[in-house]
Amino acid sequence: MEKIVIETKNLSFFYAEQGNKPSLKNISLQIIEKGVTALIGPSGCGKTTLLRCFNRMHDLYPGIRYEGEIIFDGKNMLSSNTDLIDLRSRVGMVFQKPTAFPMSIFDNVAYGLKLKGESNKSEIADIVEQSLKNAALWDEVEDKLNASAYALSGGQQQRLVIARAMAVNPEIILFDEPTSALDPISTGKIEELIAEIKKDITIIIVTHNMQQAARISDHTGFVMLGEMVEYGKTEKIFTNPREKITEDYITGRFG
Amino acid sequence: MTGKKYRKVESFVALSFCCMAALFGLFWLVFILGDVVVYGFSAINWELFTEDPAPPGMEGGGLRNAFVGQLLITFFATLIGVPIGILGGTFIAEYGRGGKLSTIVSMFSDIMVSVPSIVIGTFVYAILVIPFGHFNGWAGSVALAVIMIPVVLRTTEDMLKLIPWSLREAAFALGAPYYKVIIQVVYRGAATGILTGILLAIARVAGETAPLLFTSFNNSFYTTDMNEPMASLTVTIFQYAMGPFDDWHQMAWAASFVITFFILIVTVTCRALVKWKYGKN
Ligand SMILES: Nc1ncnc2c1ncn2[C@@H]1O[C@H](COP(=O)(O)OP(=O)(O)O)[C@@H](O)[C@H]1O
Ligand SMILES: [Mg+2]
Repeated sequence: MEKIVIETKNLSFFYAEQGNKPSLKNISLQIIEKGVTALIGPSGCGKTTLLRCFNRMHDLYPGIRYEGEIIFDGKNMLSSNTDLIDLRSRVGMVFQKPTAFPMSIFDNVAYGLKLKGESNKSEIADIVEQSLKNAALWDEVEDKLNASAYALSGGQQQRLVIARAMAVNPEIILFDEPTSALDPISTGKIEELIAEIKKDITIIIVTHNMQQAARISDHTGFVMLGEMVEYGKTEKIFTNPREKITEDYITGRFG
Repeated sequence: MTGKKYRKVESFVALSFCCMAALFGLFWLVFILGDVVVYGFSAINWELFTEDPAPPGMEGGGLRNAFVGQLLITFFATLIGVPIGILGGTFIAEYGRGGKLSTIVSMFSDIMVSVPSIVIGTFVYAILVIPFGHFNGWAGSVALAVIMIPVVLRTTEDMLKLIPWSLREAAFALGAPYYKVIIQVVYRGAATGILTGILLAIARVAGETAPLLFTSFNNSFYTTDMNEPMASLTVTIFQYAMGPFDDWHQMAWAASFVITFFILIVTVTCRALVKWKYGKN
């Protein structure tokens, strides 16, 4: 039996600027533990908005509002007593553009650990090394850990950011179009990496690239106009979707 | 005349005027700097830095009191002005971003940049000289600090705004509270730019005379006590240049040379920093 790691119940979301017009409408879905869940849909449909609910990134901005529930670890993470710092160390995030910090490669990966209060130097060094290995970057940076992260290429920086996210041992990592700014070779490396880490970590990835969703995901959700049109096993969605509109989107009839 | 020909003539005339204006400006600049170098350099000697002024009319002596005074006043001005400027810029660019208070602070800072420095001098005179009954070094530092604040504030704000928002989000996403995001990520990315702003602010106040005339005034004796009236290079130049003695004029030239050279070095350093950091893109 597959274990459910996140379950949304009638989740709606409102941006401050949009007033009472929801950007997400009554979304109910279950994210299965481990493996990759892809969110696809036309641009502006709310994929990013949905993804950013899972670590409550929206809370950075005043005036936003959630409705419904997101159950994580038996509790509604939308409740006001959720410790956001704790939540964000359990649910990591990787953005579209690489977000390496202006510090050394080593310090980038160690950043989250130090935030968590880890101060044992050799422990930190071990975890940094392991994370870089897991991110398939170790061989390339082993002898320049103290160099600035900006000396790395875009693809390397993106893997560095993934290593940084993995270093704090999260249960979930959210990816928002992590390869859309990368060349095909770097994209391939990131996809391989995702296939590797999904054995241990639940991955939710937003992508506008349907081939990518088909290649790497186990489950797929098709979002349109803030609604979850169809959600299920990737194989099923791509070969035999329930909804006509899903089929139209997947076969490239619009988008 | 055809339109094309006409445009060419027009363009030639405009170009000529621009060149003439530039040459005119350049001429005076070279003239002034040339004099400062010629008269100033020849007047520099070791005693200038190690000895205090001789009594008026007597030969010899130096300007140790003014060099040390200038250093102390500028140092404490930096110590007061820079943190306030950085915190203010941080407020505008981070905590108060887009808010009303932010706009107001930013507007006042803009106004402060254009307040004549003599006005700042008289203001500090009223609050830090009159109550104590005598000129003092602290008042000079505060006056210079007030001039530095808007410069540092504006550069800090601009440099912080250059750091992409996504970088802050990434730090938040790792669970960092806002103050750590600012100190550990944003300041680090903006460090060179902020340092440049600080140096520019120092260069800006190094040549100020009017605010010091009303605050630290002058002192022909050597002192490191900031509660006393204190000599500074600019006020000394002002006094010596106006004075009747030939060796006073010599020393005024020497002091002018040193201060010009100092500002030049600071400015060139700033340019180099900016080029090194931001030149690539
Ligand atoms: N910060 C914001 N404030 C207001 N509206 C927003 C904001 N971000 C996105 N939106 C709106 O929400 C909708 C969904 O956007 P988004 O989730 O970014 O789409 P996607 O990632 O699927 O391209 C869009 O209509 C967009 O205009
Ligand atoms: Mg998006």
